[in-house]
Amino acid sequence: MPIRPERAIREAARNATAHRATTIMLILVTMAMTTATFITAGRAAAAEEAVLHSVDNAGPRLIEVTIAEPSPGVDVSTLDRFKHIDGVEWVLGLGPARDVRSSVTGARVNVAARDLLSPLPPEVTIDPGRSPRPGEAIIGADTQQRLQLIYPSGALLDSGTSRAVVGAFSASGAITDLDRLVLIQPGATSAPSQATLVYLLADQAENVAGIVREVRALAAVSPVDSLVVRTAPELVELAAVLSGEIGGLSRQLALGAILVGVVLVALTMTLALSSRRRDFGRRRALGASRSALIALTLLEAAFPVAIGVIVGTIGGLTAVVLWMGTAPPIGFIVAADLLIALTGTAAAIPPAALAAAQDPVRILRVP
Amino acid sequence: MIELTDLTFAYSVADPIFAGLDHRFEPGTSTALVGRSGSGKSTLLYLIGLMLSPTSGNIAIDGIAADALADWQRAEMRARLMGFVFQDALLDPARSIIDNVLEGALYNDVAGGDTREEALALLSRFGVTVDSERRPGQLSGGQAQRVALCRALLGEPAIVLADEPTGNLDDMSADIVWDALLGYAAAGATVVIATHDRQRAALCTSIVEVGHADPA
Repeated sequence: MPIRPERAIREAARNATAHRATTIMLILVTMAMTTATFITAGRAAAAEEAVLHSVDNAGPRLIEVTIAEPSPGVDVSTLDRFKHIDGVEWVLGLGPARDVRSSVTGARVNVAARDLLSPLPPEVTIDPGRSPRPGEAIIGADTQQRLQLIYPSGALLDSGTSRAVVGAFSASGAITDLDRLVLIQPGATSAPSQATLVYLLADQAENVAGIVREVRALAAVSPVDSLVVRTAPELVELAAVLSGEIGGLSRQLALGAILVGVVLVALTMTLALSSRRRDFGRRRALGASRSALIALTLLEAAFPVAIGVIVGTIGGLTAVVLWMGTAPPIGFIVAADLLIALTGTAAAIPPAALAAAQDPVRILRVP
Repeated sequence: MIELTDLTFAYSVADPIFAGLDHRFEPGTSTALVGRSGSGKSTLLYLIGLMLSPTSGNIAIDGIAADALADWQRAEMRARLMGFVFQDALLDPARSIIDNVLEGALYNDVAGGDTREEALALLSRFGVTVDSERRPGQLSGGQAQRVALCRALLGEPAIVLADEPTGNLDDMSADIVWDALLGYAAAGATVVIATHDRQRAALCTSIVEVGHADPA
């Protein structure tokens, strides 16, 4: 094509401005197509994202390992090995449960306590107070209420040993059950405790099964059935199924909206170009090749299509955010916009090719 | 130079519009194609303009067998070498006057800035005094044809083809257009005009009688 690209773009922009009715129609069609895509498929994509996000929450990623009698549990070195399993974010090992009670005169409430055999995970925050030193205790938020302590202080009686309470903690996410416990840092001189309750958090839900296999292998608990692992595989599966179904639905809705838009763009261009037949004949006489005519027509359509996509995206996203409280993922937005812009412009190819293929002499002859 | 050799054109084999036509259109000459209505004047013009392909025979432009070229090559040759003037000015009513003139150089890769200056100079030379940014809807037939003439002459093409360029014009406007075409030929271009106006055709360097008669 001997026409320079920058001149072709300028010419197409001027033509798009000159033929306002067609341009406005194309903007409206593309805008409607884009908005419809976002309100249907975009909303579904946002919902899918929310489901996937919930799958990625700690609940389905948490592995709870209980070692029951007659096995004594797993030692601290095994906990260290658990930490090095691929995909494990953190490990929390706790000793066997026992009752402790407040040393305050008259208080007879027993609460459950466990030895803390590993660092606290990020989900556990101590406020007020500080981390316990050997022999000291921190109490969970629920326990603090049960013990009717306004401030976490004083001491707890642990099988005749007094444990200073140095803080209260609250656990979030999937381990809120810890709030019902007292966590005691074992004394430096006391015998190393065995962990009978271990929590592991996987970085991704799909890694849970592999981590469980490794835990079973590393724990080497005997008898085997004394090691009980609890996960939430059903939730993971359900979320995967849901996200798959939503994804499928979103693709169908997007396809439908885009197909309707493509047909409308093609019809608009066909009508517009049929009224410009002499335009095409003149251009052919002045030296435009068929490919140049098609390229100019596509560029002319691309301007309103691009404007329609931008305006439609703003409108569609606003609607989805107001409706769902969340936007579809950025990947969906970019992919949907590119798809609509390309298919919208490509829809002008058949009418442009038909118009360019017409015999210019027949068009130009004056009867 | 345009050279027609044994040129025949027929929409149906049994009834050729013309047959065995030989003629040379030399640079610096103006040629009138005359004949009765339907004799094939415009057809011959469009053949020379490479918008139709002959049934048989050859069209050579500057020694190149133009009729054998691919469609895009013929379009390129039109863009590079030819200017067209149609019977009705055939301006784009949606575009400004200056844009209509500039379209004459759009497809031949001429630099934009110089072309615009040249277009404005041409409009001024042919007495189109209205604002060039306005659309051509308000122009008279004569003014519109002068705008079309500017479009044809923009970029100084070596060949100008005019199909009944004054068929719809009053005498004064027709004189302006004819003078411009003949003057352009005198300046060295090859100008071919299809016309039924034998009085003005006589002003051309040569006349080709199209139809069943042999060329002059």
